[in-house]
Amino acid sequence: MKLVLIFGFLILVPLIVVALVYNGFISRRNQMRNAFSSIDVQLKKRWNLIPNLVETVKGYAAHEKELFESVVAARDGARSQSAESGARFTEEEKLSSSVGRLMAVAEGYPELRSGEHFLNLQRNLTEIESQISAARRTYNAAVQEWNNGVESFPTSVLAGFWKFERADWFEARSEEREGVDVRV
Amino acid sequence: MLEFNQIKEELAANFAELEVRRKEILSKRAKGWMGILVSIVVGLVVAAVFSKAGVVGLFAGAGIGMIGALISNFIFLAGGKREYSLLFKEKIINRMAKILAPQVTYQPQRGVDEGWFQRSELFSRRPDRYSGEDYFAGRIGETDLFFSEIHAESRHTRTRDGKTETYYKTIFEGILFVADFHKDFRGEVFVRPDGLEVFGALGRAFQKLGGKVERMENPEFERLFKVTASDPIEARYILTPAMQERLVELAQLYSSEILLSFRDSLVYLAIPQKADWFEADLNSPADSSTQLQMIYSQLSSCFGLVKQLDLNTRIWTKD
Repeated sequence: MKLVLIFGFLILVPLIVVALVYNGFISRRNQMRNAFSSIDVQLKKRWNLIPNLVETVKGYAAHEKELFESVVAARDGARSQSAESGARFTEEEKLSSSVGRLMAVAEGYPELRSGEHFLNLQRNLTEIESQISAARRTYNAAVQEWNNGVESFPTSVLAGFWKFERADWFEARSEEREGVDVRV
Repeated sequence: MLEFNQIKEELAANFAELEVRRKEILSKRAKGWMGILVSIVVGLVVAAVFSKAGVVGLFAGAGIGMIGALISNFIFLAGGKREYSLLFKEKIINRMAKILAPQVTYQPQRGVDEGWFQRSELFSRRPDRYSGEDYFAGRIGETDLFFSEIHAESRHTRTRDGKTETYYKTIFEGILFVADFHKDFRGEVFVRPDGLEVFGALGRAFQKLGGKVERMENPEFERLFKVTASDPIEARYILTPAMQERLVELAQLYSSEILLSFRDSLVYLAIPQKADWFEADLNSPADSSTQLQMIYSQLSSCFGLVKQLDLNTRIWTKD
């Protein structure tokens, strides 16, 4: 009877530990996925806002043809990538830079800046950018937890067994790091 | 915002009237203390003269002394301090607040309602005794706000030598500040002092026992606060890196364990404070620069919370 108990204990305890570690990884992976889907939603909102924004600025600065084309190209480039790919992140960053340049051009037209329609678009863009930033920080926090699990001993042993690999950060754009000043 | 010296000049017309009343009250109080002293002396004399009468003489002396002291207190001492305090609040604090924040009104005898205290959800216990004073409400720039001093207590009982007695413990004493937050959000975010962070990984493990804790990027913010939220993304939407910096500065400014909650599109800020703010000292002249400077800095720091929390920046979709 004692022997059965000892064997049971020796099998059961490691099994429980393994199950807990596995569930911990799954929970972290779900957090990452959830945070990523929130980024995705906001990025798509930004895609939808861009044609309107371009048309509005075009009305005042028609000669900035090259810039408008680059914004539209960057948007199409981001849309053509698959959801969680590294290339998607790169394209989205290009789009962010293009939109930043577009807003900088708009700053040079006081009449445009004071128009109700543009103000509304600018507020929406600021809102979306704030939401993207919050979702990205949440995603990175989840990635940090995941990577800690993958790289720290002893969970790293089990992570290797289940072929769990390090996840990539969603880096902030350099402009974002310096703090973009979007004023109304 | 006007500088202190300019504000003092603006208030100059009120000082004379206040000073006359203050001196009257002080002189009345001096009479009161004299009356009490005389009553005690008369009582002692009566007791000595009628000492041969035994206990009756002693009672007669004590009775005369007590009645005299009570009458003096009632006529000369009672209410003087409070009367001056209210007058000072009406003539000086109210006016000073109007100069600093023209769209804010001041009600000295009212506090933030208990309902708001509970709605903040910053404190788990419902108060059994609640009071408040020095209520300010209105608008600063684009931000609607109200705040006051409050004191919330819970009732407890204990048994000593077979007797059960009731006593009160403070849940919170200080300033409760409620303002319209500049961003739209649906969930709840709580920022509370963090006593466990000093214990490193072990402390963090204990934190998690109380529910999911959101870890923020700013190490100083993490050292001071613990964040819990219904939605991790919303927590970061509200607590941007800039907002984390501001809250660290705020905690350092007040040198106290401030608490915040973000609910129903509002920010609730509780600043623990033992000192009684917005009060006049009867023994200081009405135009005392030290006293006025203190009230000026108390008002400025409360009104300044709007700037400190950057609540007037309205660049998001919320108006």
